[in-house]
Amino acid sequence: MTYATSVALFSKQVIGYVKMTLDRCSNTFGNAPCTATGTVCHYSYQTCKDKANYVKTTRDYIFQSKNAPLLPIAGVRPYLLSHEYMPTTLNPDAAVTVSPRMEFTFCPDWGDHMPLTPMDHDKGTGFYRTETTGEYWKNLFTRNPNARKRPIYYYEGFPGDTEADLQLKFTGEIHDFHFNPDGTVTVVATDNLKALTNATVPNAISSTNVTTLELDSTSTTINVEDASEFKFLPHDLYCMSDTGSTMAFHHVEKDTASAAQEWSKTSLNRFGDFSYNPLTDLAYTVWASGTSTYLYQFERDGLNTPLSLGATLLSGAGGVAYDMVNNVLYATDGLSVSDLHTVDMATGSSVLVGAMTHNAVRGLAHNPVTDTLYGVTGASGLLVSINVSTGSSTAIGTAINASGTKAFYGLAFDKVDSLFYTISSGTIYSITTTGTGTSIGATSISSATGLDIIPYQESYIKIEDSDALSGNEYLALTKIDTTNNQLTVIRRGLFGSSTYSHGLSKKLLQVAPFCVRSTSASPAGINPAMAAMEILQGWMETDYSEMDRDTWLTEMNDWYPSVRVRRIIEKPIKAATLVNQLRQVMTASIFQGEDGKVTLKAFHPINQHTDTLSSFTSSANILQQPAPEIDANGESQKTQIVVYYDPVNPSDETDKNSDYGRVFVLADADTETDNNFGETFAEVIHHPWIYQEADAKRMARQRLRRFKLPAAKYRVAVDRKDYSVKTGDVVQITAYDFLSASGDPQATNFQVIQKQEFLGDGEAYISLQLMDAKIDRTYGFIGHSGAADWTAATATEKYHAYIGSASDSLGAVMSDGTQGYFIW
Amino acid sequence: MATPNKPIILYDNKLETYGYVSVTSESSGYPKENTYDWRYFTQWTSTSSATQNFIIDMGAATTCDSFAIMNHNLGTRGATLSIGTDTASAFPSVTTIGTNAFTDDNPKYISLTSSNERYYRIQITGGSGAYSCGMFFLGNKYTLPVLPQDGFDPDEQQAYFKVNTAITGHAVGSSVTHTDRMQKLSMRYVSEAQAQTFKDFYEDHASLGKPFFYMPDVTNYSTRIYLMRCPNNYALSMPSEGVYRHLNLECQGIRDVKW
Repeated sequence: MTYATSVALFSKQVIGYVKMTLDRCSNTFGNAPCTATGTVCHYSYQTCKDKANYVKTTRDYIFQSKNAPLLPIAGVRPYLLSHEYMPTTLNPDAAVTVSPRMEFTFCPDWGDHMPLTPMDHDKGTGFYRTETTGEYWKNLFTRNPNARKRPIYYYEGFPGDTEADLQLKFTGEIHDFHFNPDGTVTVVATDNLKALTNATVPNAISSTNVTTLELDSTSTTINVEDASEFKFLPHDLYCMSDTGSTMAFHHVEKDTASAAQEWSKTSLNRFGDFSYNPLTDLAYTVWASGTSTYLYQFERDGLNTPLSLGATLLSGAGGVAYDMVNNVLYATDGLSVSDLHTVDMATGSSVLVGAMTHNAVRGLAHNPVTDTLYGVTGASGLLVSINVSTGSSTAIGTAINASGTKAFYGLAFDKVDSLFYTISSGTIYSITTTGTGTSIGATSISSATGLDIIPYQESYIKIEDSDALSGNEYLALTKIDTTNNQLTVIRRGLFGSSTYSHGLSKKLLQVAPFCVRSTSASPAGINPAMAAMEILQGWMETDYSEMDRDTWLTEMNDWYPSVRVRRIIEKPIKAATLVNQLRQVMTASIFQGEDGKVTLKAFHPINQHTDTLSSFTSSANILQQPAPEIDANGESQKTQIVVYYDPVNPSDETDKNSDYGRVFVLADADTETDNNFGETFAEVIHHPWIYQEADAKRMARQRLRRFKLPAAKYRVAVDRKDYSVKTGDVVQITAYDFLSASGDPQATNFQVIQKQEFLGDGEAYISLQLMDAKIDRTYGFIGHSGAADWTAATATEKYHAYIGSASDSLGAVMSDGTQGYFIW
Repeated sequence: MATPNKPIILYDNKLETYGYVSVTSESSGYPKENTYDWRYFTQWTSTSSATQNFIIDMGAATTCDSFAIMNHNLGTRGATLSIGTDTASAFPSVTTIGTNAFTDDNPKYISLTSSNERYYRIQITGGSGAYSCGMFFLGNKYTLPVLPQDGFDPDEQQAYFKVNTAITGHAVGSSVTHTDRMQKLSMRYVSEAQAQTFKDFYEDHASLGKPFFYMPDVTNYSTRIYLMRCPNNYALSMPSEGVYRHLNLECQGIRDVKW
């Protein structure tokens, strides 16, 4: 029975289930490659007697509620006594989010009077150490002191559930464990975002890590004291496909070939390979239509429909590669015979370089480390290097499919791993730089047309130079050589700096530019949702699987498509601070959801056509016990929002008014009048990311609308049947706790700012902390095709925007006198 | 209902004392030792449906009259379990002292033909698919000396639950935590010798917090075999009255083990 079915039943027996995934050696004691002898180890790193050959793998330790029927899951131990859940808490008025934390208390399992069975029995008789003394938990954590930082999961289910039936409630990492005086053990877990608390963006570089050789204005290498302090951010593999009339964009795991579609665009097909330009944050592809071929650009997040830049001279859509070193875009024909062309990234016009030695090269990639262009042949998957002056190509290694019966599309080069990737019939192949191809695995992608590696952010540095004839300079890196302590540069003079000569002992900084990577001193900004994603996935290296990217991109496209922020950070700032600031710009929440994935949740008016609004009442949902609590929350009131923005130095974290170039003030005069509250409650925001007045205004407007009157807090308990409401959702409450002026229950919209599921002896309920959402006005949404006129419109259709009269003293009104629409 | 029988307790598990010489197979992570660690949730699992033999060497001739099994899948597998004895570990001329063809996965008590041999064999055969089992008991039963006082309830239990009630009074759902099985026995007028035997059970086993199998009446409630334990800090109580002693036993266990 599914969780949803079980939890909807009147009577429920909820069972807690904890899984800890700890390290374990995959070797067998004394068997090659393990050379250990003597007393058998416990297969943990701490007890390893041949650390040189230790091979890390994992093992799950699973536990369930002690006082509950045993789940039919092999190996589960009923040791879970209780858990305390300090859930995600949104504080919209304070613009911060409190990360969740869980504490699990387990009963002891003494071996004094009952035999303990060895934990490492799976290594077989003679290869494990017989368990003769100790206690289960102490043995476990003594042998695995590095259990801290390892994954821990909390699920809930019902009698008879298998692991697949259980509902994941929390994902995090083991933060600490305590042995309590009564023999119980408490394991403390924090969520994955906890790592933001201490990590910084960018990483700090030692002040002694300086240039060790002079460089002139054309140098492409920088010798430093310690190159290992500089880092590349993760680079992920993406695939473009073309099925029927739909172009789709997929993320692909480089090690498993597991693929997930990120977005798609209908009415688009016949595309070729694509290539990403990190300096403009745009990808380029070619599109064939009849005998014509056009160059297209698109954003990696699928924000807009791909844009045609102009016609090329290509015959069909083939390989595409962007050369970062020389700022050149290359493309090949898509037909059986290939020519190499250069393509103008602004107009699409192309210039023939020459005929290639190999035919049907449908994938191109550029290696910026060696400044070499490569291709892969369409039928055999042969890696070729290409002379960019003549177009001639040279085979490298052997073909993946010597018989030439396959169809290979796209080529990507990962400079961090020095591996190429291509795809044929949905199967991803890696190719070494010497031309050895290996199948990684099959994806679910059909009709793939292209591949490329897209970084969350390239690596940029700044040379601090105050010499008379020089100056500070921003540079982009392609290679970090830790052996020779040398950095290889691909772009110089970025972000308004000039390409100077630099002397010895010049200090270097790793910088984090959140803007279009151009030479402009005033580069265009980027979407705050993408900036937050760059911090989380790029700088924090949050695994792709831990990000709720679908929701993230949907929320971004629906609510913030035109919002832009800009900041080049040079001095390390706590990542949590940066994410909170970006969240504030968006009036959104960023937190780890119940599925364990980090998500972005916009706070916005309800669109009855697309949003589900849960409705809770005193008779069907709100419980008597624990009794509801109301907090009028007067301190949340803000009648005036003052935003200082456009900082003089965007790298600085400062709340001095004079450090900002502009200020925007928005006040609600009516609320401040003597007849009303008669007082000003001002919130002053210093925002180093905002550089455009429109974004300062929008943020101020949304905050004032929500908080010009106090946003009451309401804590209620509901039965587990209402479990589907999530943190960040808006719910409608109809209860005698909130009345209209006439004294009747007033349906009121509240935002769920905390959801806590209680499970203890004799009780299981959900406690919800709510905050008045203040989105009770009518906001306009773009109407659907065929909607009736206003006078005949249904109630649902009226949630869309209709055009009313011009605003008068009462505001805009519709033809029948109904109040008009507001813009969020 | 037939004449009531005295409750039976199984606590002195010879398997815990002697272990196994061998078992035909055991899956990775599910060793044979799991069958006598008193933790019914840790299981032994075979690698196939082939006949499985657990060989026990008790060092010298030893009597056993009872066998019990819990948290197993022999009913699902359609297997038969038998207990045999022999004078040699190779079991050249095995004597079967108890057998049961399983039709369900409920806990099961098997009364053995009392045997005094050094080597014992637990054999599982005839099923389809791998076998698993959480708990075996092989040893001698301890029959309580007298029938419990009137009022004894072999089905006593307590459920822990709470009904969630809406503001307006409607019941919107209930949450059940668990159900405890409980037994409270009062036995009056037992001899001093019988009291000392009870004290041995308390001191050797119950006072250590170790679980034991308990059967309130093997004739009238033949399917009732519970894994119980005394409550925390349970005190031995054997007040005297003249030449007699009175015994009290209180124990509890979780109800929802597979029946």
